[in-house]
Amino acid sequence: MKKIFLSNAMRILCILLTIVLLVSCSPGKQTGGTNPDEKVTITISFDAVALAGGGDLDDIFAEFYKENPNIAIESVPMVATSPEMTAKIASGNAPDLFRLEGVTALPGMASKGLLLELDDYIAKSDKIVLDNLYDVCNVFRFDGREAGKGPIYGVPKDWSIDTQMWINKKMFRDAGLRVPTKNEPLTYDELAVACHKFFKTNEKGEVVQLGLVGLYGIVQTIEVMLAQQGKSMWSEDFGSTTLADPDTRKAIEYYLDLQQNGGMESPLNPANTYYTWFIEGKAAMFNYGYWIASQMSNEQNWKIDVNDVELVPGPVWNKNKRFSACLAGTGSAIYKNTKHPDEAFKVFEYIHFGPPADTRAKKAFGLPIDRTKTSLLPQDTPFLKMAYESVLDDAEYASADVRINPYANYASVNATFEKYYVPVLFEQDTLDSALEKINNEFNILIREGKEILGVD
Amino acid sequence: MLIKRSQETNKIVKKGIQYKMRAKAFYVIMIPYLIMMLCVKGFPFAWGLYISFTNFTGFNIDKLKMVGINNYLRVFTDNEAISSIGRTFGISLIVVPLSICICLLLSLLLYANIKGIGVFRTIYYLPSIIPSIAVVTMWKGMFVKEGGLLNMVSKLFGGQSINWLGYDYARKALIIMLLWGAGSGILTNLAAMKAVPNDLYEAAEIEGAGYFTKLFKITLPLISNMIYMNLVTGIIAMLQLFGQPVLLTATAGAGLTALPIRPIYTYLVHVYQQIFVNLRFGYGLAMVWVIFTVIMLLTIVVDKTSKYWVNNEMN
Repeated sequence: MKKIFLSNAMRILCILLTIVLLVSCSPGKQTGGTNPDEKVTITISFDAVALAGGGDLDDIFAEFYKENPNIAIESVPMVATSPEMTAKIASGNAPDLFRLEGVTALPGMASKGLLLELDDYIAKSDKIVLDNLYDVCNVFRFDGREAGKGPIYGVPKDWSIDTQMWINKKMFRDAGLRVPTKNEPLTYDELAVACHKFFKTNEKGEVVQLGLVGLYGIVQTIEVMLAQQGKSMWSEDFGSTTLADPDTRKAIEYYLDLQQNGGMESPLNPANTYYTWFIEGKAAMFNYGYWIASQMSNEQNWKIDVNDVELVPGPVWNKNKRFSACLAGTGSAIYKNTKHPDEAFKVFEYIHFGPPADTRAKKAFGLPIDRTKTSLLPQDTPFLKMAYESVLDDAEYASADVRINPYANYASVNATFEKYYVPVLFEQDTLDSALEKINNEFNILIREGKEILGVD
Repeated sequence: MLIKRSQETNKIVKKGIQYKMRAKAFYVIMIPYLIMMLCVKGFPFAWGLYISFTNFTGFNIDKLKMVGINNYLRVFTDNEAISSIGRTFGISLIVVPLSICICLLLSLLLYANIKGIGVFRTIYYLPSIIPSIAVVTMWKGMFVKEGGLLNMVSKLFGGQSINWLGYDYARKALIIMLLWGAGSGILTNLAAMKAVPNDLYEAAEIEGAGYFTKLFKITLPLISNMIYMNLVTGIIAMLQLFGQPVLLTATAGAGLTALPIRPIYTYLVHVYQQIFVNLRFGYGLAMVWVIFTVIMLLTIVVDKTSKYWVNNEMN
């Protein structure tokens, strides 16, 4: 009996091992290669929502499949700076087409040699005409040190002037303040006065009204403030910081003052549902850009008169010097080690210049990168028309001058800054002490980044 | 006599063969598991150990350099690593003993033989089976300053809104949330209580022992092995505290790379930031091996003390 059991166990084991061997020796997923008839699978880190505001991937790519029957598309949705993507890149399993923010993620990824240069592909393309693209496309250029110059690695799929603000004109009028317009934005001095004036607490000390909500991260906001003056948080060669410079410190102090004392949303005065704060008239300014125009136009829960809402440019230091910044520019780039660069580029073209780009434009997903598609943006209500005119007007001032250090991963820079800034906000540390710690950590990040890239 | 001895020898030989066959069968059955274990766990362990001695950033596998024990030395000179492990110990020192006490108290209450006790057992055990992401989302909704349940209740009684997720209260909020899940040991405690022989209680009652005497002289000593297990697993879980602080008070970043507010910036959060935000894979993995060693040492210390307070079949 025992012998029978033992021999059965051996048989089962042999079968199991055979199965394991067969599976491991099988050719796996057919990814194709040189044979044009062979099916090629291109992995993209987009989902249907990012591509076309939802729907079925097969429907989104229906036209593409007709033209390219030998290419299959597999979606592995994730953004370029996510831990999942980092792990995939680290293990050599990155998707063929990355979804990434041109402004914040491209310099770091291009400097590490992860992205394919697309100049030759674009030159040969009959779907991409560089002259038709907005200048903001340059956020996908990187010359090895500076963004905005050098070879092109991708394009934004849609973009916005992220510094633009939605304002409640009635609140400005009631407070006796100048109402900003699409031609005359607020100055930073006016913004500070407005934020202090709008900030209100009740008898228990609870915040009931804020000036500005829905902010971008502190690093980008300060970099925008500095870029407007032709300055930066980083030295010319990105080898050190300018945190000790008076202008940088002034910008940080300005931001800190508004968050501590003057009605700008912060962990101290959180407005978790900042969109609701704005539509309910509890916040006078909402820094979210054109992205949210479509959602706002369908909003049913306004507690303010929608005619009092306007999209205006972000604040400037000097009224006569406009500066509008794209702070994200989400698009895609192709993985340098892709086995199928030609096929990946076809998918790239389709996503950015084919039917999905039209769908996104019609849904006001931000501005299309191709000017010829701008007319597709919805203008069928006075609200959408106002937003359309405002964003197009501001787009002419769009700048890609916000500098991102290629040696220090942007997420690290932001996290490091926040780590030491928040205790200052809560008066648990001094600004001097925090800036010293930030400076030390930034220097380490830069040194390590240079070492890895082999830069002196 | 000779025949008798031979029969005994045969029996011993037969037993030996049976033992060998059973041992063989055991190993034959275990081989697939051992192979899987080596591939799935052994390889990543060895790879992680190797990487901890390199300058791996996730992008430089082709230019990998050995850095010796620099990454390990860095753990002890990194102020953030030291302060974050201090914070983690601080939270653990509160949460682990309180969790054990709450769990014990609940177990004693739920051991009572009353009608409908099963419902109560289910209710109190429920937090242990809810995924932590759902737990954090729920508690975040209660802690949030504007419109949060806790502040709404506080306002009803004339109290002020508290910024539970701000600097001053974040640690308290985290501890409250963690203690809500303290009932995870109830099932094992109840099982241990049921295994205590009834004769002991009857004999104690005959001797005139009251409830507390029986509790401290019979129940607690006889379920001490479960308390020991809860203590060890509690220490391990708390020193690996990561997701809850990140999801509860993210101030920058998104998802698990978000930065929690400083009072609950724990050691494992620092590790994750090093690996996935700062792309210091080598250093992050060295930090992981350091905390692994700390956990191992603490477990050995607790184990060494167990002979003084844990009752098991051996002693």
